Amino acid sequence: MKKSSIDTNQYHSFLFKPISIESLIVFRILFGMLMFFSTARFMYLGWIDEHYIQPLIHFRYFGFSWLPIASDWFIYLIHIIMLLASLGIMLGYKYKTSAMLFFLTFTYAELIDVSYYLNHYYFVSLISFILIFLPAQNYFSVDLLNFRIEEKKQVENWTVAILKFQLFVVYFFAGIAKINTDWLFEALPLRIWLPAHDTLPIIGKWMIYPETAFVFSWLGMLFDTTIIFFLMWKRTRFIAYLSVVIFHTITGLLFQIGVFPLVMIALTPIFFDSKVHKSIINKLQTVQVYLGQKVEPILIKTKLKRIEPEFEVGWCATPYVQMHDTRNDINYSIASSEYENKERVTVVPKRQKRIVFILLVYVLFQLLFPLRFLAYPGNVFWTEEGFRFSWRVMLVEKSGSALFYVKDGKTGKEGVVDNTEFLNSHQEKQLSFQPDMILQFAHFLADHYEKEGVSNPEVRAEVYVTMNARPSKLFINPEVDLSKVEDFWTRKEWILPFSQ
Amino acid sequence: MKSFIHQFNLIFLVTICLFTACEESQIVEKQEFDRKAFLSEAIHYVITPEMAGAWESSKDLKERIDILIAQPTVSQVLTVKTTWKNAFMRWQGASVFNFGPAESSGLKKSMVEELGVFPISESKINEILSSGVYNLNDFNRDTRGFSAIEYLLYGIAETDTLLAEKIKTDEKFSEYLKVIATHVASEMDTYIHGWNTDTIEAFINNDGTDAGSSTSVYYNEVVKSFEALKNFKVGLPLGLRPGQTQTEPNRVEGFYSKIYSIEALKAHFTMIQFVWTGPERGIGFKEYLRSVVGGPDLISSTEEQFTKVNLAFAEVESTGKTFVELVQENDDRVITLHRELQKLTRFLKSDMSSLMGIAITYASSDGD
Repeated sequence: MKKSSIDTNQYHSFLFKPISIESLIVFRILFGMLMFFSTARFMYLGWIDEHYIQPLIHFRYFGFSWLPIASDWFIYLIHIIMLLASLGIMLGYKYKTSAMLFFLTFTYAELIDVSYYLNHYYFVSLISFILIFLPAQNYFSVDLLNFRIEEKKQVENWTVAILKFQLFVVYFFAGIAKINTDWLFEALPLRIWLPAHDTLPIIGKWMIYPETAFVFSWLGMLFDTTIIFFLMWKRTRFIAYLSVVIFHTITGLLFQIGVFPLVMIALTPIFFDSKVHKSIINKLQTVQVYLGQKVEPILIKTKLKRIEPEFEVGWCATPYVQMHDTRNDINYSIASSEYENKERVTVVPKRQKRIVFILLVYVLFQLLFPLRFLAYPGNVFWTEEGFRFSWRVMLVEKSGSALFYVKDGKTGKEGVVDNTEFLNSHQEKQLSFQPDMILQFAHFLADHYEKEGVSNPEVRAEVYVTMNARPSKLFINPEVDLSKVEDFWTRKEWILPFSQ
Repeated sequence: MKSFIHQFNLIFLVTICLFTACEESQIVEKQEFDRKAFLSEAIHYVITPEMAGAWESSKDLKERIDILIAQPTVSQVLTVKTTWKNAFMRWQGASVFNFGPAESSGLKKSMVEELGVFPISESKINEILSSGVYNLNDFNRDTRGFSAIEYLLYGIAETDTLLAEKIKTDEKFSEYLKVIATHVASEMDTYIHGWNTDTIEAFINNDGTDAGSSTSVYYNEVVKSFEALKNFKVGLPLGLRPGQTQTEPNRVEGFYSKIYSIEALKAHFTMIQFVWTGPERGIGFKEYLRSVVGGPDLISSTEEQFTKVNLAFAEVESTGKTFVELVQENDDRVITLHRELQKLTRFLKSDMSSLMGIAITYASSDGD
């Protein structure tokens, strides 16, 4: 009993010990900046039109088909709000509202069409969600200048730890996903991807050697699985960060992965010592002073006073009492023995209990959800059941040809669909090896051709998929009438097993 | 922490051992392929000669039509018909290369969309023929191009004598014939001359594999052309689209001249196969595939399927019937041809792009 109480203490003091706020501030500024850049780039490239307006149909996320699809002007508005909200996050202007708006608009835009799913979009949604709850506006922000809120120099440790945890999840799961025979012992898909980049300056000439693919595969796996530990450890931190920069620069050069490398290079410095972040903020403040923007923060004279915690007795032994410093808005914990000497009451403020609970739920979800593929039989790379939201990034080369047949239930006449009539090239490509998209398209075709006068349409699909340079194989049972099949979490029996 | 370093060292050593072990057990050669040379051969020995051939034959057609209008005799009609057939066949080959100067820009659509429309709109053309009012820049692309010329030559007058008579007497008719023949020839002129020293050099030097690189564009357009052949030239007339209740022979390309449809289809397909195989001593996509992982397997399956398609073509040709007739009768041999073409799709489309690591869409893909 005593031991467990000490453990709980450590764990509580880990989560709630005060740390300086600057790490959070630097993270906030960089994240806001990158999201501004990323959203602006998305708009500049004309992808709003291409992704959201031109397509005749959208593929919905399972469970989110009820979300209405934005009209043309609305999707532009969504992106403008996103753009402004990212600025809000960066500057700390109406921070909470900005973070919430960014999370909502970004996530909504992602939820429109599953064909554009990217792990890094999921990552952005998660980070912006977390940011809503962090006190990242309480220092070096516009909100402070407007006297909206009080300045804080310190925050509770969990606010930074949760961000570090999220980064850990991304890298670590990406790393363990690479531990498979194709990746490690065949150097696939890198042996396919690298030779296509033999025209790159300097490193290009190495790309044609299979040895290079092997080295990249192994280094990639080791990098992903271990990098966070090396970033956490002070002695290796600098060299680890250097390798983060090199790693993401190379992947950025080799693959079409947009701003993702930049995002990771900008966010991993959260592992740096707070001194580094302090000096960054100091530099920024100098700039601010130079611009004549610096406003003296209001000084509120307060003395340390005890806040009345909401006591809960008998839950767990935490011999702490919460103190509140209103000037700095910091909760201090002092040993309850000092405060109340008589008995060891269990004192856990309700707020902390709530935070611990929420963090626990979030952490467990993040650790378990990517492992859900274990609940499905077969090779996850082939079946794609439990593939998304699991940080499986740049792991497999897949491509397919999907032919859809629509049969008139009455006359028995069967026709072949020209997919390009309904899909853009990206949708067509993604659909050809993702079973839930195949199913959705089959349903769409059934509805569409029923309206066109085909009675009781039956839809089947002949799909051939090639995975990591193997000859293409039938992917799903071509006899199944997909229009009668409903999507669900359970295993899709109509996916044919993977064979070498 | 020390023990951690030790552990890491251990992992690293094991890794190196495994790594060298696989190196020894596998005979892997370097995957070298000179895309510059490939592109250079493609542009010099395949693309520009084909485009030039189509341009010259269209020029020929235009000149012959001018002569026919000046001397509207049956023998001139026959000469024009021969030159039309030649131009139509050369066009089939050139239509595969619908990129570079041939791609759409501004209001102008791509070469195939501008000149290769079929079926044409009889009613719109008849309207033009009676009113004499036309506009070569409007959106009625189904009133111009190779198939529109074909309609005027084969679809209106029942005999050659009547056609000569029509040209002699119907000024609006002969004028429109002249206008669209000139249009086709001058368009082909801009396409072929769009390939000049600069654009050719740029094509060869854009030797990456990302979306927009020459290899990617070239590959994509050839595959698109193949898909169009299968879907629009065979599938659609056969009534193989869902919702089509019967065959639609009037959707056959070369519907008016009738006898040339199969030959034209074959010419189109042969060009696609030629691009894949490559010129006699030169480098085609086949050579490219030889250099990539899984390439040799794909080469043999693709070649096997090419053979099957060619056999299916031979079967269709052996009937001695026109394509329109065969389609009308829903002949099994045409259905088989369509099926064999369909089987080729996955080899040409998904397998090939996957193995060659060519990016085919611009949309940002997943990353680490």
